[in-house]
Amino acid sequence: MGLVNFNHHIKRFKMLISQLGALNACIYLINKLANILSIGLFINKYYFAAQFLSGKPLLPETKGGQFQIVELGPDDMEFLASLRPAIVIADRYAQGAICLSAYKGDEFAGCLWYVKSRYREDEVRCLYELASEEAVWDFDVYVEPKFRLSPVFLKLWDAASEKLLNEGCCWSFSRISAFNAMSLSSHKRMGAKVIGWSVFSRIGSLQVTVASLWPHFHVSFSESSFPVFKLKSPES
Amino acid sequence: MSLQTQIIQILSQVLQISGDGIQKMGSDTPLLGAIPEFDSMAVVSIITEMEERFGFAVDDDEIDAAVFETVGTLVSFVEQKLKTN
Repeated sequence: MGLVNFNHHIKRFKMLISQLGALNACIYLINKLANILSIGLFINKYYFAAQFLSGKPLLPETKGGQFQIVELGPDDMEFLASLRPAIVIADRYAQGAICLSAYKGDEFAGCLWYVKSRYREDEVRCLYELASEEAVWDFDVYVEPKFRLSPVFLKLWDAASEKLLNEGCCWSFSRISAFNAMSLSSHKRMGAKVIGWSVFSRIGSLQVTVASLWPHFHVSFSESSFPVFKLKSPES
Repeated sequence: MSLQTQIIQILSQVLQISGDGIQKMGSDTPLLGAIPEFDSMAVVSIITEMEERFGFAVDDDEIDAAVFETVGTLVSFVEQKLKTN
C-alpha cells in the first residue's frame, strides 16, 4: 500500500515537472507543504505577459451569440461582492478599473477586469505601472464553472479587445501564476509574450520579492512598502 | 480512415500534440483535466474543425464536460451528430 502511494506521488510529481518545469514545480510544492503545515509561508511565482490586441476576433461569428456583454459599475457592488470581497472590488473601482461581464439571458456567465496606467496587486504587495498609454492591465478573468467550456471567455476577450482598440489601446499586460499550466498554455496560444517573472515570498508582514524586472529584489515589512514594476511592450 | 482516427487527427492539430502522445491515444484517453491545452479556446477550435470536416452544426448548449471526458466520449458525440444530421 505504501509503495503504491509512493509511486502515485512520484508519478504526480513527474507530471507536475512536465507541466510547470522543475523549478516551478519545486516552488509549488514548497508553497503547498507550507500551506498543509500552516506555517504562514506564502510563496508564488508569476509570469508577466504582454498580449498584442490585433483586432482579429478569436471567436468565430457562429459561436457565442447567446452571450451579451455588459459593463458593470460600482452600482453593481452587491453582486460583484458575491464573487470577491467587497473591499477588493471597491479598491479596483478606486483605481479606475473596468469590469466587463457576460450574461446568458439573465444568468451571469463570467467577467474580466482591466485598468489603464497602473494597477496595485491585491494578492501580494506590488504595483504594476504601464509605460505606454496604449496599454492596459487585465486581471481576474472569471468564468462560472458551468460555462467553463463555453465560448464565454473568448466572447469577453473579443469584446474587451474591440473596446480597447477603439480607445487606442493595443497591448494588454497581465500576470499569470507559474503554477497555472492551463492559463500559461492559453496565453501562449493567444500569442502572449512572456516579458518577465517575479517570485513573492511572504511570512507574517515580511515580503521578499525576486524578479527578472527592475528592481529585481525588494524587501518589505509593511503595506506602504512595495516593488514597482514598469512594464513595456516587447516592441518598445 | 475510422472516425476515431479522424477525431484524434483533429485533436492533434488543435492541441499541437505529436509523436508518442498521438500514438498512445485511444478510446479511453482522458481529455479534460488531463491535457493543460484543453481549455475553452481549444474546445471552440475542435468544434469548428469538426463542423467543417463533418458538415454538421454544434450549438453552444450541446457542449458540456461529458462530451470531452475522453476520446471515446467525443467520438460518440460525433457519431450521434452524424446520425441526426
